Amino acid sequence: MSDMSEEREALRGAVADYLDANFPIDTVHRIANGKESVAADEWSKVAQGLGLAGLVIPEEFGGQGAGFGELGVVLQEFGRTLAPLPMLSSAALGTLPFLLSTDDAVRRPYLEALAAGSAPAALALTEESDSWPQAPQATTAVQSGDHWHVSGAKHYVLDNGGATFYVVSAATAHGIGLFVVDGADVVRTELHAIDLTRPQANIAFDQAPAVALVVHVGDELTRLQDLAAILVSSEQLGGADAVMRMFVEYAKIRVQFGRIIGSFQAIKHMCANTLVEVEKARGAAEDAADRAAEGEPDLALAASLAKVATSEAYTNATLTNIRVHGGIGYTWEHPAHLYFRRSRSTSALFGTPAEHREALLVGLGY
Amino acid sequence: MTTTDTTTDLEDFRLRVRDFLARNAKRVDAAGDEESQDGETVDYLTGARVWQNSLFDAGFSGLSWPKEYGGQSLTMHHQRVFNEEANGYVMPSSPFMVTLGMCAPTLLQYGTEEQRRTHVPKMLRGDEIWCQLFSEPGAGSDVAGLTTKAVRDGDEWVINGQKVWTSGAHFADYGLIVTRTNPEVPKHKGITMFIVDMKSPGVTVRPLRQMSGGSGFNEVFFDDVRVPAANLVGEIDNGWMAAIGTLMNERVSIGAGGGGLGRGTGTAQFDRLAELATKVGRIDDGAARTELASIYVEERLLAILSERMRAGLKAGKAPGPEGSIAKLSGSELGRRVADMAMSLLAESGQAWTDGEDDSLHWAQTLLGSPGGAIAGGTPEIMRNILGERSLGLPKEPQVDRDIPFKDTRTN
Repeated sequence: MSDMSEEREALRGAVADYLDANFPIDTVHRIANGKESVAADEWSKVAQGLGLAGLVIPEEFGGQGAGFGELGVVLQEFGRTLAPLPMLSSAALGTLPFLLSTDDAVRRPYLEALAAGSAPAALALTEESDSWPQAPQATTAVQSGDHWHVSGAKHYVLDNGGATFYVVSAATAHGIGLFVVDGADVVRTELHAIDLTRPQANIAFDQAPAVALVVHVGDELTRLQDLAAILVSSEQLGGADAVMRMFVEYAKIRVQFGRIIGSFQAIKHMCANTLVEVEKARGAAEDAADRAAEGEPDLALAASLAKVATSEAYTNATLTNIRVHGGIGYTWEHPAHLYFRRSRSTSALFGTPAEHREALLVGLGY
Repeated sequence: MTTTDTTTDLEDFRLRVRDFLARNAKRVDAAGDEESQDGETVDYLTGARVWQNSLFDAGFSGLSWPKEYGGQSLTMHHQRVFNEEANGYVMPSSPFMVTLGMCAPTLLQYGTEEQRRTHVPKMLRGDEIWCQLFSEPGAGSDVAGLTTKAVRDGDEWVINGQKVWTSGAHFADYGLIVTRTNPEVPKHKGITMFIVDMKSPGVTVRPLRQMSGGSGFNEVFFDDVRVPAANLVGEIDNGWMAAIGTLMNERVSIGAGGGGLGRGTGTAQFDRLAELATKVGRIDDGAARTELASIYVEERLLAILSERMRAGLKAGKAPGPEGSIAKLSGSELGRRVADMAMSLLAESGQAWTDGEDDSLHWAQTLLGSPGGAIAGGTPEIMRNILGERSLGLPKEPQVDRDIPFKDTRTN
């Protein structure tokens, strides 16, 4: 156990060093404002240097063969820094469907490209976002001979500004399958997103050529979404923790009424309330990631619990951050709003807290 | 996971636990409301001791505690397995909560080797019940303002004063008491901890009736009570450190069922509320579902938190201020559970006829919930601890910290 946590902390340290050196929050802010951009080869450099692009891809496909526990730790660091790289979108969410597939002949080229960081993928499940978990409503896949074609549209896709491949869920004559569509074969409409540090798009495709990754996905579609919620929770946890540190540090240096403001119980108790929520959310997110790593068959309850806890801890922490900072906290130049925006966006994606609460009750038989 | 607890080992352990529980424990549904009793009756206490004896003799008491002091030196995975299996069984463990959750960990950390070897195994077996003599009428949130005196007299110390809010003093064999041994120095620097035999001449215990009607707490008076010098815990005038240790364990205990005691996988409150909501026809009501799910979430978060705290304790870490998180969350959850039940019961929550057990149960829960927030430290004190100890925020300006205790303002 201690070996494992030491390894995870070493990984966390390496990722943190890289992110702090390359994506300090001022840089992220400039990128969000369009005043700077990420180097085109940054992701493939990270893929080779730190092995992050293929972190959970088995070694036989060029990945690191790590588990969801390690992936969770890395996502926490990306959540902490808001670094605009496709860690969540491609290395986590975009990779999941290829891990579910058991057809090596089909998945090998994608996994190798993903691990190399040369062809980021994106997961596109959502159509009309009104329930959790989601099933495709209008997207269909039709087979003719050896070839599949998909038609339909997907919304709110995290694709880092444009993925090489999109994995879409689609209804077939026999059920629901997962299909890979080339980025060149979709019409991509960039969305106006509340989150300025992560692009989002709607994609549409009409009889686009597709590769059947999982022809009949069955219950695995639910598992895929549970895993997605767990991974997003890890990222949210990192953000919540970072925001808490930000305002606690400020509360230790800001002076008003002749005192450090953190000595006032009104401020101290706001900080303490955040700590309570963050530590409980940490338990839920890490517990869920560990269950995923251990291959627990039904992750639904753990996933919903984690998503509720981290969404609420994060959104509340970002609000407290602005309040503790006072006037400077709601300016454009201060990074507080970047986290506030990210927390709201990730709360809404992959099931809102309200949807996950309902899913919990249903899952418990009520 | 590493090598020490293989899956087979844990599965064997699980089967042993399952077998033991099936043969020795009562199911919750068959047992009525025993565990919600506030002032323990003689029968309940006897039954609890028998239960703890059998738990110890079968090797299930103090699972993660050191073998040399009567524990089993097993891992948190074993504790987790035990808790999972124990879910749904009555665990009459409340009389041992202070003993195992607070006093024994304090002895393990600050006691002498002889104190540990003499008492801890008996504590684990339920043969010795302990109480914690900290709060005083004039020293509540500010425990360090205590005025119960201990004065040295040869090989003995003589104690005079009054303690209050002492759980279980009426049936405890021993107590851990903190006393003022030097009023000439600032308040935190003149406090000393002792073991006191509750049967000593000069100890008077008076039950205190709470708003719930229960009498689990007591006032304890000390009139020239003599304690051997060997009963000193930690160092003379440096007892505040040990007291902090006990209080941290207390928060873990109250909030999360810590110490050597088991606790279920943590959705008992939710289960009972969901059943109630179904019974009164509100299970499909949107507002009720939202609150019900929130209670499930909070209950599970608390269970995960306490499991992680126990893992930390097992790994040799003294309980940190994280216990305050459990304490805060546990009492907040208690309030929400009681409020939701009262909302579901409506009129029938506030008056009932004989035999309406739901009403009785929830009325007891409701009337106990304000006390749950205060006992072991108020929410405000918990937030101060979290802000100051965990987050490193500065204290409020203090007027009594650096002056001799005798010169401070007291009640």
